[in-house]
Amino acid sequence: MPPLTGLQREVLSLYRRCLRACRLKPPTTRPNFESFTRREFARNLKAVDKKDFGTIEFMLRKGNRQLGVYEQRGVRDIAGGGGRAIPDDKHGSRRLSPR
Amino acid sequence: MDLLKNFDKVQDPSKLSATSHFTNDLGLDSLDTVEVVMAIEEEFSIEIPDKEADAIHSVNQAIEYIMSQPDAH
Repeated sequence: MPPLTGLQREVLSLYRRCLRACRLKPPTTRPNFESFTRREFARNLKAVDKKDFGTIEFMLRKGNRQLGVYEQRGVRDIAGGGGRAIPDDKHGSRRLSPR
Repeated sequence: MDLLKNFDKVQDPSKLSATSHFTNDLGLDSLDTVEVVMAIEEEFSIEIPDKEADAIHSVNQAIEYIMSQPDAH
């Protein structure tokens, strides 16, 4: 396998950080977060051209922001199908809808 | 390495051996490789830093890394 480029390493690092964040979620909803993570990465892997660096950088920033929101403790579950996070009632009714 | 046997993306389990390369022999992509390394982390209760994790591409390298960690179990 050829050595990874900096951008590829950044994507893998984000993927790793997302999966690590999943571990901190409640055991019952953790699989939902993991399948959400896998689905999002798999989806963008198909949707974005490998050489479209501008878009990839944009997606990286978007992913980082999304991770920042979803790793908050108030976010306890995430929808398996549509991908909308379900806010925890105790922490107010924050609405989180990824675009 | 029973862990890998159960990993659903391994295309051809008969190719799995102590020397298998994740990409060349098992047909895993780089995201799958990250998943394998993360699963190893959980299995052995260790944390593998990004730099070292990026260097693990085969069963051999994984075993070497685990062996080099004194607190792996």
